[in-house]
Amino acid sequence: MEKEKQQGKIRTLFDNVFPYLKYIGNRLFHLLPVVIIISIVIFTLIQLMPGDPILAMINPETTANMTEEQRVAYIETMRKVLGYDKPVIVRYFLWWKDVLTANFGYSVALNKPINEFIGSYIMNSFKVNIVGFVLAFLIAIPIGIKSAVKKNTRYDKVVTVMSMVGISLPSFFMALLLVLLFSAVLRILPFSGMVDPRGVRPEYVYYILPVSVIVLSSLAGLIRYIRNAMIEVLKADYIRTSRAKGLAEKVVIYRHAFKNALIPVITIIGFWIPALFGGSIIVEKIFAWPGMGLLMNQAYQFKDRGVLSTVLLFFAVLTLFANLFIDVGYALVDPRIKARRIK
Amino acid sequence: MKKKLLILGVLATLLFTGCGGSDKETAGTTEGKSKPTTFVMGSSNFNGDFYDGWTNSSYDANVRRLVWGGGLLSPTDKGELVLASFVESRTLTKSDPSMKSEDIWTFKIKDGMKFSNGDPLTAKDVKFTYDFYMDKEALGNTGGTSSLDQYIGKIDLDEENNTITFHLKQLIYTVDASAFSTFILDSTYISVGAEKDGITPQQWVKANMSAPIGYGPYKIDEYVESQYVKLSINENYQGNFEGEKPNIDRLIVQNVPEETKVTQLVTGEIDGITGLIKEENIDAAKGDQAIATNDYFRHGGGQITFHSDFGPVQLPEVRKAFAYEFDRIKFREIFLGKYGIASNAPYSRNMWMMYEDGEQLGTEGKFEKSLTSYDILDADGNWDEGANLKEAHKLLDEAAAKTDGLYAKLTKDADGTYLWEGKELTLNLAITAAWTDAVNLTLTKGVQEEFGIKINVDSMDWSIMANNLYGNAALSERKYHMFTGGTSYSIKYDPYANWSSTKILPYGKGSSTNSARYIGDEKLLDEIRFSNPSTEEGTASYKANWRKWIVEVNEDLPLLPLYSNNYYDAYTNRVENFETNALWQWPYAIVKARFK
Repeated sequence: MEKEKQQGKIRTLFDNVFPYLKYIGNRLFHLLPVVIIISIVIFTLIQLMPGDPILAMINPETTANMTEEQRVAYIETMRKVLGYDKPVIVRYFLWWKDVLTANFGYSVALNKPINEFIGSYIMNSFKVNIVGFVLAFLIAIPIGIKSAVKKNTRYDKVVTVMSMVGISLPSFFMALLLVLLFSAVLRILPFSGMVDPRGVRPEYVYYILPVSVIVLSSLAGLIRYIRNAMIEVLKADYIRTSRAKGLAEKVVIYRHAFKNALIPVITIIGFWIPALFGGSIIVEKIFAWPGMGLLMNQAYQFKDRGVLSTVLLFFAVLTLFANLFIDVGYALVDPRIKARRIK
Repeated sequence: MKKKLLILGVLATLLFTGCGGSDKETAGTTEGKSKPTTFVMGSSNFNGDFYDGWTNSSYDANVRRLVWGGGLLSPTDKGELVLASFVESRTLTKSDPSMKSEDIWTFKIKDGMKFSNGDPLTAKDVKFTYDFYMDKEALGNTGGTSSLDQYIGKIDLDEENNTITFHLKQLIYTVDASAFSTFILDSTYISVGAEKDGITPQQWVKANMSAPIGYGPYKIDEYVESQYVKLSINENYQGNFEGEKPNIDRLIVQNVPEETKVTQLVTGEIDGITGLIKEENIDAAKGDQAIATNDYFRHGGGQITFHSDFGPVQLPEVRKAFAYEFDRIKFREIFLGKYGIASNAPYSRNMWMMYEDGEQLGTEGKFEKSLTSYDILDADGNWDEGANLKEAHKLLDEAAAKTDGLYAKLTKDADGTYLWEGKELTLNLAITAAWTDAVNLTLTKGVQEEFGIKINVDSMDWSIMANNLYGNAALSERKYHMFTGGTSYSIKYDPYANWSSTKILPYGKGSSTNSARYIGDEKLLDEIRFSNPSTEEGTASYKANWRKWIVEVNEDLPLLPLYSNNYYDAYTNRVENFETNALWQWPYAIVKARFK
């Protein structure tokens, strides 16, 4: 009897989850051609960048004392070592081979294989951005909801004004302001870095300022977005009905109104993730935080084709996954969409 | 409410206990009030390439200097090279008595020398090192480069006597810097590692680039990518050229952002930063009583390079007229603020060849004063526009009056407009983004009209500009007559590499290290290059010929120097004897430094 109950539970769970897995699998399959097209665009654009990457990489002083034959031989060796002696189409497939085998090619600026360092840069960006992202939502949701519920009250006006101030402040300015206050004046937080070389400060204090900048620069927009979504939902007939039924205000707001307000919020979450990584260049630069933003900035400066291709592909895949997340999220919160898409 | 307060209280406690670490040990201090043991040097980001031969980051190079200190010949604070402390003697002989200079150099290594890990340091390691870098194929396959094989032929190792003999292929005046400053590698450490991994020593070094073993003042204890390098004293270090050994127990070279580095120094988060060039940063450091500074002129600088084989700038008169048009004083004020000077040819004030006996390095000596300055100043020391204009027009008028060869292309019409091949005299200047404001504000439209040389300024990415400057761009794209850029001189300077006609390739056919594409007195370059480095006469000949060459370049002006930075190294005044200069970078100077 117990066993049957257990099996029944598993079956129900499977029946609930399987359509989602099938949907995700189906979407992933359809993403493949998109990834291929994006990769062709990225690769082509980067190959079209002016300048010979090998000649740009070699410091002319290095070859200054070589004879002409030695110099040509050296350049050709470098070209061969880095695979630039092959036609573009062959290089494209070799690049894909590298990507699929997690090699990602070679960085001419850092003079080492990309797979030796790309992982740590991705992780560093994830650490600071995901923490910032989660915190921003945890703070923005209650404030946005309260602001919508208390529309046009003093609370709402204060939140609106603060949001406008937050939207107007560029993140680099906010970062420098926080550094000035907490590191230079109060001297309670480190200026930059990820870890204390003297081993005195715990690692988490190094997250406080960069995460704060990410949270503060995201918060204002998010609050405005959630507030507006909630205001729209709160006008709906079913909310009035819920209240008329005598449901507690908390239940009306959080169970009925907020779930429906989540649909536009999910859209913003989906787009927020890649935007966070792309937009973290400034934060990572000011805090000497070795993440993807900083890496992309360096790669652009040195015209490091291998790194640029890899980073751009990473952003493209991240955006595609964010889209997938949006679609699955819609289905989770909206039964109408679930009925249409998840069968 | 109580619950919220409790949560806030816990968070605040966590935060402040975590952040209060600086009480326990700030930069330059250790426990409580006892004598500091750690010096934290702020640096721009490093790649972690701590072996010579691969990438060229000067921040990596600083760590290499700490780990090795020098090669068979090691630097002094005056920019000279002397026998390293692990070398007992050097003998110079001639393979052929009729030769002008000694071409066989034998080094005797002291017995009992050790690397920082305890491995013996012998002549065998020296042989291993030179073989390592001279195996071009094995080195090239890992992306490494070396020019040692240009200078060195046969190498004889005498293990029994711990000596090594080099038969030089060519004896040039700067051979000691070019061939004998190479850091000696630990053959035991590298060979064992390479053998274990079944790869070549070059591949093994490439794979273990961040964990070198040297014999210098410090050894690396920990390296965290893009964050810091921690070093401690190497007990096996034999001392620098004065026999000095390090006094500061531990060093941390920490990556600090450009935006906050000075504030970090002032607040005591770090103990030192080097190479400050911006006026606001220098003034902030100088204005803080807890900060000491050393300043010196850069051993190099920024310039405009003319392509002397292209368009109107083929004529020296046009190059010089442009120099008079360009107000370098105004440019430097905009670009650098008040901390900088300009030279008048490719030299720096750190070169001994610039000075007579008794003259002070870093000052404007007699020889420098004798060169033509392309800024005519008025009685108050300001740029005299009228006088510069007069000089520029005099040069252009003289050139326009000539009709032979290229001069036929430069004419002056009835309105007084200068023409090149019948069109208004126009020069195209390629610059990178950082120069845009300063160049545009100096070469205003009014100035261009007045002087009669129109300037098209194009701002572009460095790699694109470099392709045009070095001649890698396709011929059909050739457009630019002038380029902005920077140069740093080596400790011993041989102008041949950047000024010989043999270093010019046809435009569009590859990288020319003679980027000015200037053909001057080739014989003079050879005289400078092949001066005998081991005699006083050789040194005197090097100096005399080098000066002749400087006069020539000053007169022909294939390159217009715009600035040489006045660098400031700033550090906590709790440290004494930390004397840096342009040729004695902080990794060398830190050896003598000590906490007060």
